[in-house]
Amino acid sequence: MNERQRRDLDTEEQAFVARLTEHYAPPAMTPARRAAFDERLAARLARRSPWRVAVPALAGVAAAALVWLAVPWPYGPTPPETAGVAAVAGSGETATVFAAYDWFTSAAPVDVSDLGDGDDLPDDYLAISEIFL
Amino acid sequence: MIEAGVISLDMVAGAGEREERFRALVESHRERAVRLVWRLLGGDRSAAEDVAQDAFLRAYRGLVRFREESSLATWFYRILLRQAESHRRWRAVRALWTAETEAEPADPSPSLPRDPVVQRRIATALNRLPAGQRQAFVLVHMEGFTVEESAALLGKAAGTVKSHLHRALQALRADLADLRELTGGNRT
Repeated sequence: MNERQRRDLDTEEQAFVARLTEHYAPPAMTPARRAAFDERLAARLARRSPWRVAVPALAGVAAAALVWLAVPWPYGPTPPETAGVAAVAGSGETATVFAAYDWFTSAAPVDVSDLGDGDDLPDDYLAISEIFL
Repeated sequence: MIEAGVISLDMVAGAGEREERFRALVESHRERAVRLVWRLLGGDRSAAEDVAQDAFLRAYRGLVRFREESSLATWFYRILLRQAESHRRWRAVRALWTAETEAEPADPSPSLPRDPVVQRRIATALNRLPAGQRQAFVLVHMEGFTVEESAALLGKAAGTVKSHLHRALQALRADLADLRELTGGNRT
């Protein structure tokens, strides 16, 4: 307790605080304990934090990915339009629809290719034909 | 400026070397830092040393960003208090998780000149105080920081710290009134 603070307390309070402080203190650090503390601290300082390695590595990967995306095709990623076609062609659902249409046109007793622009079709069929045909 | 050891930080302030300043900081404040945290954490020696080390490590890593807006020691003790409070919170969560009802016991070292039972009672009484009162009491009454220094460390107004001190003292006297070791044998 500093002198100014001591003046703010009455005698009984001062005695209480003094005894409390005296009783509630750790044993003083021995030279061996101090040396062990310093040694351990030095070892921890020497050890690199995992984040100090991970952050630059992740930043490098992110920068490489950005550069790769920025470089034009053929060195960079596949152009978007090609990628779109590939996606449609590779889509199992769309391929099934095309196969069903082929089967329907080949098996139908009438020439369905001559059905016109669909003016005679109901709205919902028209909408389906606009999507798939 | 807050000083506690043989080496004043003023002696190395002009050197500008990070390692030099850090070495001086550790040399000057090692013991006081451990003792302060020991008192804040209820007499757990190994936890106090761990927390003090964590604070020194953080200070070392942050030293390049230290902008001399306060003294190096004030800045370090702010880090230390934050670390100690964070450790208390973590310990409270762990205690809940493991269904511990009491804080860890004080060092049962047989060479201890002080009565472990009294220490335990004081630790428990301090532990019951709100964080602001406990920190203010330990800083000012036990560690000898001035009210203004403590206010700067805790980021509070000096008036608030004084109020914390008054309440903490009343609470501790009431809580420990039956301890003859503290009341001078007037009460039993």
